[in-house]
Amino acid sequence: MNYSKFISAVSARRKPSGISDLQLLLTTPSPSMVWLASGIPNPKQFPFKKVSITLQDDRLLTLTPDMLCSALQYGPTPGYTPLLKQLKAMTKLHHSPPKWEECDILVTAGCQQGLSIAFEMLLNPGDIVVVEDPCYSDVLCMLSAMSPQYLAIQVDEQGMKPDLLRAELTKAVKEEASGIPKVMYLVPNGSNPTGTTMSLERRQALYDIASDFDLIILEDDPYYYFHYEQEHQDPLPSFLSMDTDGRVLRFDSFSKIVSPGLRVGYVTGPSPLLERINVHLQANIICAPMLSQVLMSELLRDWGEDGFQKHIANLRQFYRDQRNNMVQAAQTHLTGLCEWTVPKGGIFLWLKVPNLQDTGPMLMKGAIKREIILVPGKEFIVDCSKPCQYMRAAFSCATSDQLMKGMESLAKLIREELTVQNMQAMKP
Amino acid sequence: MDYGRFFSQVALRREPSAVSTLRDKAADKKTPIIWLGGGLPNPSLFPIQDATVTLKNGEKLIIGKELMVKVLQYSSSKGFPPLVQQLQQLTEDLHQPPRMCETGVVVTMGSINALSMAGNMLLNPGDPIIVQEPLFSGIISALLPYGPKLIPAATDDEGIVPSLLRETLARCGDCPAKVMYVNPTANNPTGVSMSEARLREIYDIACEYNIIILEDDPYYFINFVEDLPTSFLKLDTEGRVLRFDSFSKTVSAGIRLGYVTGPQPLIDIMTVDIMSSVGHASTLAQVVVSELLNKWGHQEYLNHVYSLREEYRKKRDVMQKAAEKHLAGLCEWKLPSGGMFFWIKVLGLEDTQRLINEAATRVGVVAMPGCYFVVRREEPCPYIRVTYSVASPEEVDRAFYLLAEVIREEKLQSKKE
Repeated sequence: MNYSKFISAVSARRKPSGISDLQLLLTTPSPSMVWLASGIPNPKQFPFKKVSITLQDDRLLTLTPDMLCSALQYGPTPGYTPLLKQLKAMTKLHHSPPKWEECDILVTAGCQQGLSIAFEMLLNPGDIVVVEDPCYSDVLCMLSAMSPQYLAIQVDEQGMKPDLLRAELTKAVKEEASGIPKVMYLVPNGSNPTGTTMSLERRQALYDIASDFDLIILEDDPYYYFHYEQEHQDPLPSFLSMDTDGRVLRFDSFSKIVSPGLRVGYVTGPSPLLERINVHLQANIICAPMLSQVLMSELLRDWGEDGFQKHIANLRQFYRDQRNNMVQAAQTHLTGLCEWTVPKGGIFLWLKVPNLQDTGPMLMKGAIKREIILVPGKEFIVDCSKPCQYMRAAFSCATSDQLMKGMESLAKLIREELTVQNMQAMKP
Repeated sequence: MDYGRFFSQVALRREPSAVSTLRDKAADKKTPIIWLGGGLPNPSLFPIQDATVTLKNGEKLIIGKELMVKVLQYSSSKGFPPLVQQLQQLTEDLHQPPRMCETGVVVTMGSINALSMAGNMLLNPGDPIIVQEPLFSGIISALLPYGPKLIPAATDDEGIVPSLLRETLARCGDCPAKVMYVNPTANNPTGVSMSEARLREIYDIACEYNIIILEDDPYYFINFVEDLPTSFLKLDTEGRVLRFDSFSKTVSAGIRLGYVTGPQPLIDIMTVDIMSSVGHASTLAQVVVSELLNKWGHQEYLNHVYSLREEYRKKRDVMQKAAEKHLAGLCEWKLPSGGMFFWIKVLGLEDTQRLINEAATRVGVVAMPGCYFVVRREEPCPYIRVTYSVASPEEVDRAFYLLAEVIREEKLQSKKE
C-alpha cells in the first residue's frame, strides 16, 4: 500500500530530531563508546532507591536496580524494550495479523493519545472522516479541533450499517468536490455509547468496503476483552486480524483491564504509518511514562499468558454481573418509560426515552439535585444541534443497590419531565 | 490582556469533552451521588494494592490502599489536585508572580509535551515566532509541525541581545511576531544564563510589541551562578508569560512530569488539549512527586536540588579541565554557567557534521553537531555540543583526547579538499 496520500500537511512537516537519530546508537552501545550527545540527566542524582508494589494477592513485587534505572530515565520513544517485546508477542498470539512482518507497535501515553496523533497524521482541515453515529464523545471533541467533515453512518444492533456506508461513500466519491474520504473510525466491541458489539459478518463487510474505497481503519478497541455472551470463547476477530491490505491501525488500552492512571496504551499497524506517529511522540512526550511502562511490563511478566487470561476472565465475569444488574434495574424501573438493547459487551447501557424530545435538560436537573448522573445522548451525536432522546449510563462502578436506586430516581425524573413537557404542550 | 488574537485556528476550535468536565465536577463535590457518567473502570479490579518508594536517604514514601486507588484511576486533566496545589505554592515561593491570582497551573507529560501544545495553541501556519538562537533541537522539532516561520533572535554572553531583537521585530513589518521562545537559565546548548537586567529589557520589548513569552526553564535549579535566578514569570506584570518547569533533571526524567504556569485563559486551552490527547500525566508519577514534596517540604527539596547542582558543577569542572588539556588551540568555548552542556567552536572548520557523525563516532565519541541547534540546519555550523551529565572523568578525558585527534585529521582532510 502507498501511504503517502494519507499523510496530512502537519504530519508531513514533522521531522525526526537529530538526537533521536543518535539515540539509535544507544540501543547497541559498544563498550568503549563515550556518550556526550543527548542531555540525559545523571541517574545518580534521582532521589529514589527502591520501588515495590503489593499485588492483589498480597505478594510483593520489587523493581530490580536495572528496572528502576529504566523507570527513572528517558526511555526509547517506541516504548520500554521488554514491554514492547511482550506486547508484540501478545498481539501475534491474539490477532495473528496477516501482514505481521510489515507491522510495528508503539507504546503511547494512553490509547487516546495514539488516536489523537493518528487523526492529526491523517486529516487535513476539511478532510472527510467516516464515523459511527452515535460516536464516542471524546473522539468528537478531539476531531472538532481538526475541523474535518464527517460522514456519519448510522448503527444498528450489529454496528455500522454496511449498505448505508457503501451508498454514502459512492456518493462522496462521485461528488469529489467535497473531498474523498480517507479514514474510518470504528469501535468494534462494546461500543461507547451504544454498547454494540459488531458481528463477524459485519466486520468482514466493513473491511471489504474499506478495501474497495481505500480507507484507513482506526480500530479503537478498549473493550476487546469485555464480551459477555460467549462464555469461554475468545473475543471476535479484530480488524487487525483480517487486515490483508495493511490498512488497519489498532489502538489497545490498558485503562480498562489494568489501570487508567498509569497512562499506557499501544498502537499496532503498518510500519510507514507508525514511523510518522513515532516522530510525533519524539517531539511531544519523548516516551510514555517509564515507571508506568516498567510496572506494566512486570505485571505482564508476573502473570504470564495464563495469569493474564485468568485476570481477564475475572474481569469479564465481574462486568457481566454489573451488566446484568444494570439491565435488571432498568427492567424493574424503566419498563414502559425507556427502550434499550442489552449490551453484549463494554460498560454502557444506551437508553432511549421515546416520549421525550431531549434528555439534556432533564439530566442537568438530576445532576443539580445530586441524585444521579448520566451523560446526555447529544454528546455522542455528530450533529449536536439536534435534540436527542438518548442517554448513556455507565454500569462499571455502581453497586447493584445503587443501580436499583439510580434507576428508580431516573424513572421519577423522567416522569416529572414528561409532566412538564405535557403541561407545556397544553399551553395555548 | 485580551488573549483572543493569540489563539490559533486549532485552539479556537477546541471544546472540552462533556465527560471529562463531568468527571472534574463529580470529583469536586462531596455529597453522595449515583455516578453513571464517565466510564471509569471499577477500582476493585485494579491489580495493585499499594506501593512503597524508598528514597536514597532511607526515607519512605508510602502509597497506601486509598491513595493507590487514586493513582490507578482516571484523574483530572489539570493534574492531581494536591500536586497542583503544591506546585502553585512552590511557584509563589520561588517566583512571586505579580499576577498570581490570575495565574493557572497545569501538569504536563514533561516540558516538550507542554511546549508542543503551546505551539499548537498559538501558531497558525505561516505565523512568525521569535526563537532564541541557538536553541535545543527538540524545540524546533516540537514547533515546526504547526508551520510557523522561525525567526532567530541572536544571543551573546548574557542571552538575547535587545538591540538585535528590536531590529528583528521591526523587520517583521506587516506580520508581527506574537510569540517568543526563550530558554533563560543555562541555555541548551550554550550554557549562557540571562542576567536580570537583560530579562527586564527583553520583557519590556515583549510588552511594547505585545508578545507572549514562552519561558522554557528546565535548568532553573542547575545554575552555578545564582541560587534562584529571576524568571520572566517574576517580572510578568502584564500576564504575557507562559513558564515551563520540568522535573526531568531534578527528580526523574522517566516519570515524564512537568508543569506550565501562566495566564488562566491560556492554561485552560492547554488543559482541553490534554483532555483530548494524553488525558492527564501519569497519576503514579504525580503522586510520587506530590508525596516527595510533602515529605520534604520546600526547603528540603531545595537542599536536594542544591546538592544535585553541586554534583553537576563538579562534572562541569572536570570537563573544563579536560577541554583545557586537549582542546586548547583547536577550539574555543565559554565556561557554561549551568545546565549540562559545553558549546564548543571548532577553529578552522566550517562545519562539524562530518567530524561528529563520521570521524568521532568511528572512534567511539558520540556528540552533537551544532547545526541541529540553529534554525537554518542546512547552513554550515562550526560548533559542537557535548554533555557532561553522565560521562565519568576518565571517559571525558579519553573522549576529548580522541576528539582532538579527529579534529586535527579532519582539518588536514578539509585543507586537502
